[in-house]
Amino acid sequence: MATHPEPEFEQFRDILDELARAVPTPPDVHWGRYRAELREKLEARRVRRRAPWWRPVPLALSAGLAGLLLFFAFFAIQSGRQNGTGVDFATVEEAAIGGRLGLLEQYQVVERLDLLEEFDVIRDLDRIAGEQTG
Amino acid sequence: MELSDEVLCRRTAERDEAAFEVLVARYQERAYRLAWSIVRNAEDARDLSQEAFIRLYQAAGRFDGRSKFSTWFYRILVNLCLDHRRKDRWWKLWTRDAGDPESSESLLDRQPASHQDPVDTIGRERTLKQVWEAVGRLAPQQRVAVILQVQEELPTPEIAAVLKCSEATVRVHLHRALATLRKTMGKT
Repeated sequence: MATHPEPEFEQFRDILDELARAVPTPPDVHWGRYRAELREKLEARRVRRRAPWWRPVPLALSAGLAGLLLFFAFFAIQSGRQNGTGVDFATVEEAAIGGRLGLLEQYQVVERLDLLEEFDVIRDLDRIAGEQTG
Repeated sequence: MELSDEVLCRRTAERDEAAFEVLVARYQERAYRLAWSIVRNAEDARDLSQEAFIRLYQAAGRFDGRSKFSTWFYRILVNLCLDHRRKDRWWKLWTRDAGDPESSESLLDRQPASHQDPVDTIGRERTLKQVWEAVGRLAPQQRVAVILQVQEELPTPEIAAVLKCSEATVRVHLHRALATLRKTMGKT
């Protein structure tokens, strides 16, 4: 039975004794079969290590799948352009910039935003900008 | 003359199959028992202990002899078992087949028939059953610390080497684990 040498565990002596008395035993194993299985597994691992093609297979599969997806994406964009239904990214970008024109007009104020930490000031940004121009 | 584990490990590193076989024969029971104590499943324990031997075979050259061979080997095995439990828990959650800690097939139920005196009271049996079930519910590091201490009878410095933590941490794990177990026993 395990006797813990350290005195700080003396208070748990009863539990340690109980545990040691009832250490559960696992189900029986046929050790000959166990070692035979182990040899098989080890051999399988060696074969796998020896086969240089084995490791790149998952990598090649992933790369192939990624390539296929890229091909379909490219094909879809191309066909969209040919049909005139494709999305022109430059137009989208311009539209987004256009939406911010008001903000760009007040660029000087925007530049000073970090100085205007007061919420009230930020809330009245339009009025302040108006006063400046007015 | 019987060769030491450390010498056998060095020979295994040089791909001496016979040395490896001797190491396996020497440690198979301990490895299987320890794995079973952690994962509580015979098939998994067999697989995990075999995997530990495969890792030992592959990494024997990295054993530097600074610690005892048994400590180094236990570390490989314990890491495998803890990883397995972690993955297994997620898998069980995923498949909604989470292991019920109060499962009807308890640790003692899975044991071979006891050779103890049948006069042993039911109450006492229940207490032992509950205390080992409680060990199964401890946090992984605490559980392993208790198993290594009680079952494998390792001293604190070796448990620390297996768990790759300080001796003080091992003491904390053991202290907390034993306090939890005391509470469990107190309730019975």
